[in-house]
This record gives sequence, C-alpha cells and structure tokens, in this order.
Amino acid sequence: MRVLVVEDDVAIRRGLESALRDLGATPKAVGTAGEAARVLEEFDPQVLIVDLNLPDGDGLEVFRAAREVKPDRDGIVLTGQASLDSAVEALRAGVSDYLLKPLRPAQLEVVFQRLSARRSLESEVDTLRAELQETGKLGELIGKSPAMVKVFEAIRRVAVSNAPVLVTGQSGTGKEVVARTIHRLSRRASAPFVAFNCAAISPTLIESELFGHERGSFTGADKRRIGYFEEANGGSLLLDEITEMGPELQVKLLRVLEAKTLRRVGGVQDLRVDVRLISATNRDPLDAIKENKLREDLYYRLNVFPIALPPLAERREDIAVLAEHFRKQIEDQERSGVQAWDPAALRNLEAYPWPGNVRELRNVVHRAHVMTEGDTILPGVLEELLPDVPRPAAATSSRGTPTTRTSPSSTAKRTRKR
Amino acid sequence: MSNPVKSESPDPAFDLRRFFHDLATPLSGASLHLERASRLAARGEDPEEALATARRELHRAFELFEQGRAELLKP
Repeated sequence: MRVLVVEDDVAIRRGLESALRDLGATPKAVGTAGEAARVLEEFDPQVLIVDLNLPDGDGLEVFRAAREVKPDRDGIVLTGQASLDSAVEALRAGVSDYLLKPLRPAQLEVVFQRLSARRSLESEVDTLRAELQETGKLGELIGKSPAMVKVFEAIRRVAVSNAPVLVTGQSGTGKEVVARTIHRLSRRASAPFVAFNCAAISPTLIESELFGHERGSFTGADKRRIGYFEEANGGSLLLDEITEMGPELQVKLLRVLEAKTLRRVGGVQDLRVDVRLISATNRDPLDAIKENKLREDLYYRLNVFPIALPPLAERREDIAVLAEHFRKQIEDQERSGVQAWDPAALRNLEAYPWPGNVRELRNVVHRAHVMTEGDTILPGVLEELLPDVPRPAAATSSRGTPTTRTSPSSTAKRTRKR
Repeated sequence: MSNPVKSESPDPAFDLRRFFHDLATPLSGASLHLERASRLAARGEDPEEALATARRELHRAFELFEQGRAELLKP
C-alpha cells in the first residue's frame, strides 16, 4: 500500500516512514502541503497521513485535494490534544482515523492494520461484484438465471449486516457455499468461518461440540475444550441441518442467541460471544415446526433473513455454465486434455432432472471427464452416466424411480409451500 | 470560592494546551525512533542513529519543558 506522509517535523516524518515500511507499506514522506501537491500524481498514494497544521497550509486541504482526484483514497490525520476539534472535523470530511500526538507506535500499528484490513475487504468485494456482473459468478456461486440473480442480490444485501440468515434448499443446491460467500463478503471476513453439521454428531455430543466443555465435566472430558461458537468468535458460524438438533439444545441455542453469552458444559461462567449465525436446512422449516422438529421461537430468531436456493431443475439455463465451470476446474486439477463439450452432451445435461442438484452435476462432470478419451466430452459418455435422461420413450431415474419425482413442476410445488 | 493561588497565576497568556501540543511533537519523534531502534536491534542492525535521534528529540522536549516551566513560574 502506497502511503504519503505529510508532516513538517523531520523526526516524526522519518520515524513514520520507517515504521510504515516495517508494517509492509510503501511510504513517501514530505514536509509541506506544496511538496505533497507536487508528488501526488507521480506517487499516487492510496493512503495519506497528514498533519493538520502544516507550515504552508492545512493538512485537511491536502487530503481533500487528493481525494478529489481519487475518491477511494483514505486519510489518517495526525493531531495534538489542542486540535482535537479539528480531528473531528477531519473525520467528517472523510478521513478514516486519527493519530493523537504524542504518537505511540502501537497506536499507529492498530490504525494502519485496521485500514489495511478494510481496504483489502473492499477490494475483494469490488472484485466479486465485477465478477458477478461479467460472468454470473459470486464467489464460488455460479448462475445467470433470474432465480440465482435474486439469490446473489440477497447475499450482497445481507452480507453487510449482522442479521441471522436461514438458508433453505434441497441437498446439493449449495447452502454451505452461500454461507461461505456471505461470510467472505461481510466485515467478519478476516475472522473464522466455522461450519457445523447438526446431523453428523451424536445428540449427546452436540452440546459440548457447540459450546465447549470444562475439564472433568463428564466422563472422558480430560481437558477443557473450546466449542464451535467460541471458535467462530468474531466471525460466522454455519449450523447446517438445524432441524436435526434436539429440542433441549434448541432451547440452549435460543438462549445463546438472545443473551449473546454461552456457558461451556460443566462451566460456571457466562462467556460473551460475537458470532454471526447462518443456519441451513434441506427441509421446509414450517413443516419441521409442525412436526415438532424445530421450535417456533428459534425459527423466528434464525429466520431474520431467509434465502431460498432453487433446485437445479428450476434453473436449467445455468446447467451448461455450471458444467463448463466444473469441467475447467477438474481439467485444471487433472490436466488430462479434456477441453470442451459436444453441444449434444450439454443438451443431455440440460434435459436431466438433477435430483442431487449442483453436487450431482459436479460428480457427473467429474466422471465424464475421467471417462473421456479425446479432448471433447461426447453425448455417449453421458448416456452411460445418465441412463434416464428423458427421451420420448423411456424415462426412469438411475435409482429406478420415475423422473417425474423431481420434475420442475413438482419441485416448484414444494418451493411454493415454503 | 476564591482561590488566591489561581488569582496570582503568572501569565494569563500562557496557553497550557498549546504547550502540551508543542511538547507532543518531540515526544512523538522520540517514541517513534525508540521503537525504530528496538526493531533495528531485533533484526541485528545498528540502532545507533535511531537512538541518537530519539535522544535529540528528548532533549528538545526537555528544553521545551524548561521554557514552559519558566513561563508557569513567572511571578
């Protein structure tokens, strides 16, 4: 990061220059507003650190002029107690932070790191936005269909907030990928993302896995263990298959969400946690409530911002794009020279009902890639992999059940029920 | 309540906030260069020049302090 220091005191100037270099920045230091104006274009700083009182002018004016040319430039002002009011004015003018004199190197480090983290996050968000506009991609999510464009928009909106998100969708639609993308686009991106599948752990162990336990709290607890909530502190926690969590634990989860504190199993102390919760389920949550699999009060806590992922059969226009994306991804890993799709093969993919959704499509592409001997994936390879591609005569699924089981109309019905 | 000491306070023009502000400049320099000396030493480089700058800045701060003290003690 290029940082221009504008400070008339030579010792501070040189000290800042050296400290910034050690923090990984590329600094340049000048002593006057005039010099700053002269080097601005050539050095093209991303950040300016300016003293408010310069011998030939106002440091804030230097920052304003620099920002007029490039509005994404950040500023940090240097100020003493006597000009604290001016520092407040500077913050209003758009500077990101201020450093109070006498300067402490630790203070500089904190302010600089905070700014770097924010800038790198903003740059990632910009990259993702550009990617979305150009290629129909948002992180690892791919699709140009109206249904996916709506999902992308919802993700972008919710990522900047701290609201709990409930992601619903059939198995294989990409619920965890959505959760990761929300985390990656959020202010929490530099903190951990932890994913936990409530159905994968025995009910007796879930509590200790989620909230941790103290040493000796139960047989086998020979040392203290930090739970997933604490592990995700400052970041995001995905609770997948939330409806598989037992009713007693749902009460405890509700309490944690309300109080923002938790108690480890066998612990006596409440610990404050700051976690953004994203939960996911492949069931209809309202059905789960009726069947007493999900507490209604917890549902309302979790479902502040719902995102419903469409089944792949409801966004057939994305199938070819996804297939090509997976082919490229697999070819990058395996380097076996499979370069393209025969158009008829893509049509076969588009005709298949995809009960296993995007996950199944990826697996099929992988198998087709492995089975292809030339440089093009031909329809013949897919006919072996997708024996039940709907054709005028026979239409049964690979599992021997009628394909109408997951036809677009039946899945649409299920979605409407939500 | 009257305060005889305050009423006799030396130079009403003496600006304590300004004094702190001026003093903060060399103290900032000293602090930055002491830190720099410590980083140089940790990397096995010579911290002599950084320490000399820190000393100069502390001397400057001390001189400013003495000037301020003289102002405050003026009858």
